[in-house]
Amino acid sequence: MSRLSVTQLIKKFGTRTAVKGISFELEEGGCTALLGPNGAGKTTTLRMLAGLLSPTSGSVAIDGKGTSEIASRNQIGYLPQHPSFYGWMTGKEYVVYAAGLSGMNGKQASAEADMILEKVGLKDAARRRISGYSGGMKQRLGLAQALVHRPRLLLLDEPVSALDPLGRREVMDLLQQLRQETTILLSTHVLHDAEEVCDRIIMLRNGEIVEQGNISELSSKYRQPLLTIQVERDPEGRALAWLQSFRQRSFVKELELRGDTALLTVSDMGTAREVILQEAGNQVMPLLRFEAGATSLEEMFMKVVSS
Amino acid sequence: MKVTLLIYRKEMLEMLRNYKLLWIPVVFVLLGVTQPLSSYYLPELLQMSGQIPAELVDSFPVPGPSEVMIQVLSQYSLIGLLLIVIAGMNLVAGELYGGTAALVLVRPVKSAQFIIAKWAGYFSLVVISFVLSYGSAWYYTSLLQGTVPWREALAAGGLYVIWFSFAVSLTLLCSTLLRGSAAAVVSLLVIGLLSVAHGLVPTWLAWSPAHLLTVAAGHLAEPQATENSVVPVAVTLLLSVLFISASSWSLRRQGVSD
Repeated sequence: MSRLSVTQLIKKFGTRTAVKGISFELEEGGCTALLGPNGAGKTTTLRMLAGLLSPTSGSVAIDGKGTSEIASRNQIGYLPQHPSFYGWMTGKEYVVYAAGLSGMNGKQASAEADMILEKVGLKDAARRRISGYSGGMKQRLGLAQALVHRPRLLLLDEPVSALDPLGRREVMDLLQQLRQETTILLSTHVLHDAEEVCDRIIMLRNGEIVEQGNISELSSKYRQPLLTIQVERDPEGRALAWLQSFRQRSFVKELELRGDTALLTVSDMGTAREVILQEAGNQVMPLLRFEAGATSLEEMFMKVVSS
Repeated sequence: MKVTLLIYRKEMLEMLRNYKLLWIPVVFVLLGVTQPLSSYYLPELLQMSGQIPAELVDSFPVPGPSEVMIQVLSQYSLIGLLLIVIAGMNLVAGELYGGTAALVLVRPVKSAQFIIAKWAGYFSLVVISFVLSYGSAWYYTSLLQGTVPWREALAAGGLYVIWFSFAVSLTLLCSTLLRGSAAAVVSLLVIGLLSVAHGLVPTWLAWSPAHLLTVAAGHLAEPQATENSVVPVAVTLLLSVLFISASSWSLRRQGVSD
């Protein structure tokens, strides 16, 4: 039985369709990233999952129960992209209030709040007013309020996008710890962040899922032999013409020229390497760099997103 | 119930920390005591200005205690109402558009619990302010103008409290449906139109909340011939409940922004 199942979720705002019928399932445990450029429908999807926005059609269920039902709300911890708190409260007061709203009694709420604030590193600031918190502290307080009732599913909307490198590092480390305990679904537009903490990605573009799967599977699926050849510029443009000529070779699937560097996606690395190096030697080409590697997930992501 | 109480406590603490629990009662008390004080000292003030002949000052009618109390009440229906609507226009809109409501409503909190706690918190503030203000107006009037019949004064005050509950509920509904300042404008417009219409054709609108104010004044003006106010009271309470239910119904349909 899967933890979260999303079926044919559609959201229309007026005439614009932000989410065009997406379906996916999340198993218990692990971390999944909703990956996509701005405007892909990530936030809209997360808000529907959190029950803050009602879908135009389709359903979201946790263990078979809809998330708009009061009872299943306690299973979700939600952190919006720009969380806002009551500035007049202290950090501790806020987390205790949040715990109370989730049904904990006073003593338990206070104990849980202390524990979670220590975990996110806000122990020293717990008695200060939230209005005086920095961006990173607010993000960590947001995590604390999302975690205080021990949810089984954690929904995080762009948890690190608004943070400086240091704050980003802290939150990433925290997420590494958390993924051992809860199921995490986070949205991001940075593939690197997704690769760091998640084991699964769901790629969104224009409100549709374009690719999903385990990161390791996807990267082997999209791994293709890649040759990088850089030449010295010569006045006659002989070397550049040589690079251009690769377009017609049978073993070249794709050629991308970036100034004096050619990126070749090839079908057979062995032949490609042999042929090119031989030609370079025979025609005395001013080679600067010759590198054999593989395309990364990043290139796949860029291709998927921009096509 | 537990959750409602928790949100109610948070509302009261918020009003304490942002001093709403201080300044609104203070303004109300000032509003209440100016009337008895100014009518008592008016002849002396005029004399001190020295340009008005003494005979004219003497011929000034001295208002009786019930007249002063009626004037006090009319202050509440104008300035008091303005204050209530403007101070309450962001009651729900502030949280809904500020993003704080999202983190509350994502938890197992029913819309009705959220709205009722908000209403109760604000209504408490209004009642506290009104009781303090009306009490001090009563005290000064009895001191300076003469005894006010307590039964009638209490009845008039009670009718005003019921009318305030209508104003608070309407403000709450507008604040759920609209953004802050628009909520204030619409609430004031609705109440304004209602009292203008009631002023033009009082007999047609004898059932309306606006009629409560006339009945309240009547209690003080002619204690012997008080009107039966069951119908407008019932209608007002019913409308208040209706407004509260409507705002809790529409709260989540707005789409909660974060």
